Amino acid sequence: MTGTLLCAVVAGECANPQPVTTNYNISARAKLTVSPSTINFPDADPTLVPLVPANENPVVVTVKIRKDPSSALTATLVCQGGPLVSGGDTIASSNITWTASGTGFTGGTLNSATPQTVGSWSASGSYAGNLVFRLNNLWSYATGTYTGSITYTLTAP
Amino acid sequence: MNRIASTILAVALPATLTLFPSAARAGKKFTLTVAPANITFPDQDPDAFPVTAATSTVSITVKTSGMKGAQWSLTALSRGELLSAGSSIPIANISWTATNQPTFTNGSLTATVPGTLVARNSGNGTWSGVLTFTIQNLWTYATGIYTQTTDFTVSSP
Repeated sequence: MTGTLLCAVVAGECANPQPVTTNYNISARAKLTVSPSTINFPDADPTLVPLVPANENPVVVTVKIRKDPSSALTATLVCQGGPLVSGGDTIASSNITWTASGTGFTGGTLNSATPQTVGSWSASGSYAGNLVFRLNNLWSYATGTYTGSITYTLTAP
Repeated sequence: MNRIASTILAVALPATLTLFPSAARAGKKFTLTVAPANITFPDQDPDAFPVTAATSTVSITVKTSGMKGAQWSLTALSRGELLSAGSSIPIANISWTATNQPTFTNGSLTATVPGTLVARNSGNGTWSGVLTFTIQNLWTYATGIYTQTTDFTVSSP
């Protein structure tokens, strides 16, 4: 028995393994795309259409992040903007809302003073979401061509 | 006392005999050179570089003697996945292309025994090949400092 075991050990011969160490340092990274970059709310009868959807809905938002592996540290997408302005007239940001679909995305109401959360993610990856914008269509609005902007900011820890 | 001595001799003798074939096989000799001992993958944008190449290639030389026509093979066996604190990247995401085919072959790393075939030939001689390593550069990777060791081993049945 002892002899057979020894024979099995020496039956194959090999050189000492030569080790090669692989190194890969990955830093935090974030990429954000929003398309289209312009949306328009059509003029509509406030009684018939109290909540006007944007012509371009949905707005497609793509978030790509490489983040810290800790799930407690989340990557966040926020937006801030408005109001809509036409000469001396304004429509408050709070009249613009959105609903969201897609992993990590959330609906909300626009605010000109405080960033509003659009999404948050606990893991690295590529995430796509659809945002559907609507405007409160009030009889109180003055006539005019209103414009405004929304700034989106993505942060990955 | 004599009986005891006789019994010990009977057990030891087969073990001594099995060493003769081993001494005969010692005629097979391999010299394996792998350089450099470290490779590094740079941190790159996954969209611009879906596959990232290591900053250096790995040169391998196998020298054999006393083979008497016997076949030899060179395998690569990683000691695990690419690891960072709390995170991992599948070692199989690393692959290589080889020069001097068909002695050297393309392949992917594995941590599963017996490893991946890197080169194969037979008889006495010197064979050299250069491996270019690449890694799939995915957004899903968490940030971190990843490392792992791969052992290259020449063997002959």
